[in-house]
Amino acid sequence: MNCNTTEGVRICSQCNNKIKDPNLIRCPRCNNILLKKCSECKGCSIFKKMG
Amino acid sequence: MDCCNISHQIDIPEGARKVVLAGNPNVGKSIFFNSFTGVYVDVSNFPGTTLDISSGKFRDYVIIDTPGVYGVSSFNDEEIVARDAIASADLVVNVIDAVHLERDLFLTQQIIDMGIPTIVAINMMDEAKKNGLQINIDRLSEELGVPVIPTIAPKGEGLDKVKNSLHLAEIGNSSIKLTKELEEITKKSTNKAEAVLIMEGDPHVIAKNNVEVIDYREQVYLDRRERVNNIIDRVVTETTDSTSFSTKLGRLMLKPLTGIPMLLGALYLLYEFVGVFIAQTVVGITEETIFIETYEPFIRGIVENFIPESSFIGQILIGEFGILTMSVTYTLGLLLPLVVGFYLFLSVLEDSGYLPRIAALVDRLLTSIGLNGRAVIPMILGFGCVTMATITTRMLGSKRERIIAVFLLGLAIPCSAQIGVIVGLIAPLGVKYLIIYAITIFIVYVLSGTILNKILPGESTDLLIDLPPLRIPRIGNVLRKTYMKSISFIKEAGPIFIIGAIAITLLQYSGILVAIQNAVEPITVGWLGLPKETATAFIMGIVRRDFGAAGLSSLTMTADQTIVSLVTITLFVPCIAAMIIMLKERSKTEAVTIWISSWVIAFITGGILYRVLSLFA
Repeated sequence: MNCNTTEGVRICSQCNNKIKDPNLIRCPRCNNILLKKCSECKGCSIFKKMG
Repeated sequence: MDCCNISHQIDIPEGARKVVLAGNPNVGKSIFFNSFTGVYVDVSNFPGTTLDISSGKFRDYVIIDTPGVYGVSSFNDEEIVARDAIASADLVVNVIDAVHLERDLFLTQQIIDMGIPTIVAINMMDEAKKNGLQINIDRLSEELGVPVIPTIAPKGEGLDKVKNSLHLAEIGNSSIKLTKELEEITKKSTNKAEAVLIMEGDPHVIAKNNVEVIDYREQVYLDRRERVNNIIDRVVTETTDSTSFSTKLGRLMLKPLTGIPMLLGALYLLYEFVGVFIAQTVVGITEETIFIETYEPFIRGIVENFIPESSFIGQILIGEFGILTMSVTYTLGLLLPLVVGFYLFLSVLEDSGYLPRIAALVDRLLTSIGLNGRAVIPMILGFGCVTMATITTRMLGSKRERIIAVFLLGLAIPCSAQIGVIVGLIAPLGVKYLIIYAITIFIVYVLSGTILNKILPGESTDLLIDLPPLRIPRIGNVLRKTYMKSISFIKEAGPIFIIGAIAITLLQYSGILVAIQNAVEPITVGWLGLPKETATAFIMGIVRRDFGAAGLSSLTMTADQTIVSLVTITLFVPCIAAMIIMLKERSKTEAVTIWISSWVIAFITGGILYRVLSLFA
């Protein structure tokens, strides 16, 4: 998981379960497919760098 | 915090046993609850939440309904209420959806792990059969260690058997492998149910039992998921014929050689339905006949009894861009039919299972411009209305992809209202000019996406989607989705049109509009080679893109000038409605940067095209 947030946690969009294991493809709780990377990586915006 | 006991909130007669109905959202618990309790139901508010708990009597039992949840925890209010009800239950009737066992059995196993006597009602067995799923009920019961009763609740099938089987509830087979740890914690806590919740790190239960904070949640969840997956492997068989027509068609949709012609065919149908039938025939009636010819004269007549149209307030209310005239006509006469038509088409694509296949098909192409296949949905929606498509970019996986998608939508995707006018203007010029227009826009789209992909840090998210089986769309589903999405859009975008109308009226009334036209003349005439009056069309395009395009139709221009003006106005800034949504969806800096960039790109492209066409003139 390519992420530079301090927590490195993905949150399931269906059941709000927090997943720390970067290798999981599905949420263990509700089986929803997870995004591979952290949804809100702070490094992903050029505007943040300019700011 | 006091937790884990629902008895404080509900009146439980002495000697009555508490039966809790639990299950995931939308599994049909309400039907079971109504079947158990009939008409006489008590509703109590759960303190500290806006949730109500329904309870009723059935024989010697008190039946307690709970909100639909994916698990028992303190993630949100619904799960807290469910947790407290389940933890203090004498027995649980767990309703699960036979079509989604992989999702629903987690909660089942969690309740079993908590050591609470359980009966499982496996609902929607008819849907499971339609989807080609064969479930071995006896084997499932054996694996879980609790009675499992098949039901089709909407038809009433199986409900009586559930009601008559409450005494058969069992404590089932646990999935917890950390047995020593669980034993230790159980000694320090109220009961096994709370011990399991403590192991899973529930802060309220930990505080109530005054134990040290421990968190085996991740391990417990993984063990439970492994157990559920093993059970499903053993009890579920898929009987769908791999040579069936729908399976073969689904495969053809994914292969580029067959999938792309099918997609082009679908897009053509979309164009015919929304771009021709809705945008021209239906909107011709709603916008022209109903609103412009009937409603607007009517409302002007009423308002003018009190306020003259020529006054400032009169202009705001019933002027050329009035909130009671243009805003209402625009929202209900133009946009509503387009929005309904578009969402109807999209709901058909979704319900049939075709939409995720489109996403898979175009994923590779979209990855090259920094997006993934999921972005095809807002891109398709953008051809309906960029404002509505911008809202849909919330579904994309990362902030990076949302920025790229919003930028491309605002820059290079003409909305259906604009397309209608553009096609009307290009058609008389011939196919050559249509090709020049389409190629220019496509080049700008791909170049912009590629550049953004290179300069924005990070990578696209991978496309991971479930491909549901293909099926004939269900009319009820399609109409319901269309209705909900259309209403939601009108509620979000409607107020914005009012703000836009007020803004443009202010500009016009104050004379700033004319001043702007004069200021941009060096660009419109000098750089783009267009008549000076095209500036008015560009300014109108800021409020309404189709209005901007339509403004060009009244000007006398050569074929080359027409194409240059149409390309420029297509790439020009998004309309005010789309801009306000962009400000809401993105940060102010990002939205303003997108706005300024579209000015620059539109005029540079227009100027280059003018010079290229001049070389061949």
